[in-house]
Amino acid sequence: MECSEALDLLYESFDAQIGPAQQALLNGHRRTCFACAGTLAKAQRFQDLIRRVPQLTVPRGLETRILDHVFAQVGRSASHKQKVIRPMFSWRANWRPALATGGVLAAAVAVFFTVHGFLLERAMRPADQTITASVQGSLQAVAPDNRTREVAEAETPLSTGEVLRPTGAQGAVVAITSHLAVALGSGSEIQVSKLHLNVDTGAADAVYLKLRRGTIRVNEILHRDVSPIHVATNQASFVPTGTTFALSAHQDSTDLAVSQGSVQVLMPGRSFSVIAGHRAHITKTNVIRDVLLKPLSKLHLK
Amino acid sequence: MLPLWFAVTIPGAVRSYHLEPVSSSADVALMTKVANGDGEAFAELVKRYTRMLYNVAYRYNASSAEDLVQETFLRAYQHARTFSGRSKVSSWLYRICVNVCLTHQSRAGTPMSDIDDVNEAELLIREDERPEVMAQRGETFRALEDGLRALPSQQRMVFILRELQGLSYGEIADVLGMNEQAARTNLCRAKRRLQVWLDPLLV
Repeated sequence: MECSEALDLLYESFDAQIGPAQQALLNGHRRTCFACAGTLAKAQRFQDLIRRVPQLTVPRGLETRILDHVFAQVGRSASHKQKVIRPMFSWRANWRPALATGGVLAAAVAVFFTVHGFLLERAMRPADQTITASVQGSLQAVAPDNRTREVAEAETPLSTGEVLRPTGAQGAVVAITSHLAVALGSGSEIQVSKLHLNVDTGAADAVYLKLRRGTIRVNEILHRDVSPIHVATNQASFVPTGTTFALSAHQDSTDLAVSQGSVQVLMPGRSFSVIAGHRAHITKTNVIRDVLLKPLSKLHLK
Repeated sequence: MLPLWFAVTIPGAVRSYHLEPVSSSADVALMTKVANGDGEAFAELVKRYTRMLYNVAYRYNASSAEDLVQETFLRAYQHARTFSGRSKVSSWLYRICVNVCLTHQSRAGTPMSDIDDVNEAELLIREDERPEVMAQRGETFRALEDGLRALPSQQRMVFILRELQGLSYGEIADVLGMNEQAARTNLCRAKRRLQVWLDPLLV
């Protein structure tokens, strides 16, 4: 038996896919072939590793987001479809009552869709995708319809699609939740890509930010299984897990520096982690890593 | 009421499998309601199968896992009438999810990197990502996931469905539209590549 055949047989034996005769062959090979003893032993360890891979938990609020997405795409009217009934009917004999019944039905349907549409519009209102954030320093918030407002040392609503630009030389800190804050460096600009809210508490389940330019520092105080914040640049997405990190977006690259915890970096076709004390220079084709020379200054929430 | 997920040991098999405790008649009844536009039935479907699909999508493409699961359920809702009841709902959803994953990858236009294509220069740059470094950091599973994402699509999907989701070869063949022997061959190849990738961890 060739060593490569033995490895395949061993893989299949883990699956209980080989018969007694093949098992005997495999056992014989393992006893006599020292050349592949190490490989087969590692195959066993590899299988043990696979068995320990845990099932992932679902990110908070995902089921709600799925339902929102699907119903937004297909329209909730699908759940209110009326069955088409085709009774035996003579227009000539029944046109008057039919016309009256039809009028009443048409009015009822019109009322139903008006109320339904109103309720749906209320349910889909952007206000549902708004949270209250606390701002330290001063910034300019630009809504998707280009309405601009200035915020300084105050609480402010934060909505999907808004762009935030600090106006002071010191930048600004935006406390999104009690455990999550983003410090915007002077000259930086972020956009709130998506906000997913917990229906029960109204708190942010997940926050998606796009760093358009400049440098931000993210501070997530609590370690949780699923991070509520995702930050994207042109090169990659960054998913922190209870951490403090800084991100600088340039035209063709992104610089990441992690001071606490670790950040998972997701790029097309690859993903990796950058742990505390390390930094990474990321382009579309390359990742260059280095040790962080000095720690990031910490953020403090009020 | 049975719990949503429970682990059972299949005689002769070597690992615990997560199986959905829904009988096929209940599946068919649920899908009939979904096909008739019953929003509550669809919510129940989402509740039962989100975790299963999320695990597949995440292992296939972590950065787009949520979008892939949402798209899978959207297609399931739109095409609920095509569910014939000849296969399990889970198999039907797996099939949609696999198609969504593969379509997403081809649309993205960025070919996934291949373990065998990693050249020496890149290995130097990616030294921190090598498995031995990751192992020192206790990131064994991430090293496995990184290796998994660098596998060719078909091998990756067979590995996910068989080793991480616990599907039988028959189900995998049904989901991926290949014969059982092809599924076995793909799994062996995937394991060989991953074992080489993870070699420094396996000491």
